[in-house]
Amino acid sequence: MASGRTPDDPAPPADLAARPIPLTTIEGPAWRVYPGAHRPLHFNRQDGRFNDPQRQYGVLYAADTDVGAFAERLLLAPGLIKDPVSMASGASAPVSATTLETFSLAAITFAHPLTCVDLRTPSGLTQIGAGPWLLMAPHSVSKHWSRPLFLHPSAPEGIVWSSRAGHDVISVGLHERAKPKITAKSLGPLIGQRRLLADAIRRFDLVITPT
Amino acid sequence: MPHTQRPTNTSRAPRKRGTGRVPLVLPASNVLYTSFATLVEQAKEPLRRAILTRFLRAAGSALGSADTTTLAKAAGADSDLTAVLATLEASLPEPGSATDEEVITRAQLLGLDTRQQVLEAEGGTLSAEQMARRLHLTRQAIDLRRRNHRLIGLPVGRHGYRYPAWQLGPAGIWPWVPQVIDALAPHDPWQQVFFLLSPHPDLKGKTPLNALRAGRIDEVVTLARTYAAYGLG
Repeated sequence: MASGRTPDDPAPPADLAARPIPLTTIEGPAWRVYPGAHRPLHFNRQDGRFNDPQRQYGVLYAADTDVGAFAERLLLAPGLIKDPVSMASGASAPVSATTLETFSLAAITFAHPLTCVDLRTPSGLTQIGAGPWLLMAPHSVSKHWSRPLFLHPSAPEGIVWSSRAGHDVISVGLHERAKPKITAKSLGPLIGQRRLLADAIRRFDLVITPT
Repeated sequence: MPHTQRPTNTSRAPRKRGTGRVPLVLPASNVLYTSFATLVEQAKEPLRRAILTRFLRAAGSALGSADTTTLAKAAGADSDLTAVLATLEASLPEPGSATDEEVITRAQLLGLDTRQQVLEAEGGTLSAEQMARRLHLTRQAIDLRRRNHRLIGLPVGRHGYRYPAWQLGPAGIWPWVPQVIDALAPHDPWQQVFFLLSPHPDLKGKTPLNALRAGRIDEVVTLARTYAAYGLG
């Protein structure tokens, strides 16, 4: 077995292209939360966990559920203005009412199933020479794994992983090469998505502040 | 004593036959009496009457279901608004058994308290006039800086804007304030402040504001830009 990387030596292994990588197919739909004034279909070339440091291809970030998409895009860590003791006892996470009016939900559908690198399990992460630390690391670390996976001979169309926003949130990063297969439909501002909001409040102990 | 809520002449009040209830009779100087009188005056206008009806219906329901602990806690609150919110919040079902709308309403009620905490956090906030005096500028110049995204002003309804005092350093507005505002677009000022005052996983649980105070400006601006474009995950 090839040697694995560690948080102290976090660069991807040089032989990654020669290794078999864990793959899965996803059929969709996926969900995306985005600023309502922008387009629902957007491949980000700058900021995100698995962006290309050279910015030569973009990544569309989404999640497998609408609540997951909300968490990925907007959730802050609990403990606003609280000391560590009250954080440990369970604190809420705030979101402004304006955010719920200005950010929208989009459904992302695929014309055909997409082949993605599957980093949802420790074994999948081990297979590429990483570990669960990769998904908890700052983006400045994880970004360097994007390009070797993108360039792998299996030509994956994206990556799926367990978000650090919450272990049951599955994130999806779709590479720009999959764009011809992807359609995005806006479902309107978050404030109108009442079931999503209620579920997000239940799941993440959100509070909504008037603005 | 005008604030007593004890009826002053119940012994002379006729008992309503069959209900077993003693009518509440208040002197005109009683706070409850004057409050009701004000409400009756407000109810002369149809829109206010409609809202008043809903206020009273919600208040009746919340008071009727509140237990002694809730009432004692509410009675000891610093402000009327806090007392009302504490009573209303306790009247809503727990999230596990509540409807979606009840869950959202409860989150909005709790958000009022969070908003107040944010206004008081890290040195509190200043009015536009106070900020202008601190910076030796006019109020109009403060307003212009807010509109040009050089200064965070938190909208507080008809009271205008409140300016977090932590934006000020020994030589005026910290140079990192406009950088952070630009990085956090397209979020509104409240969400920008929530980001700055919440622990961040890449700062080992410290808040971005603490990191900025420690001089880690480029690092925080990068984290802010990532939160705005992607999120924390």
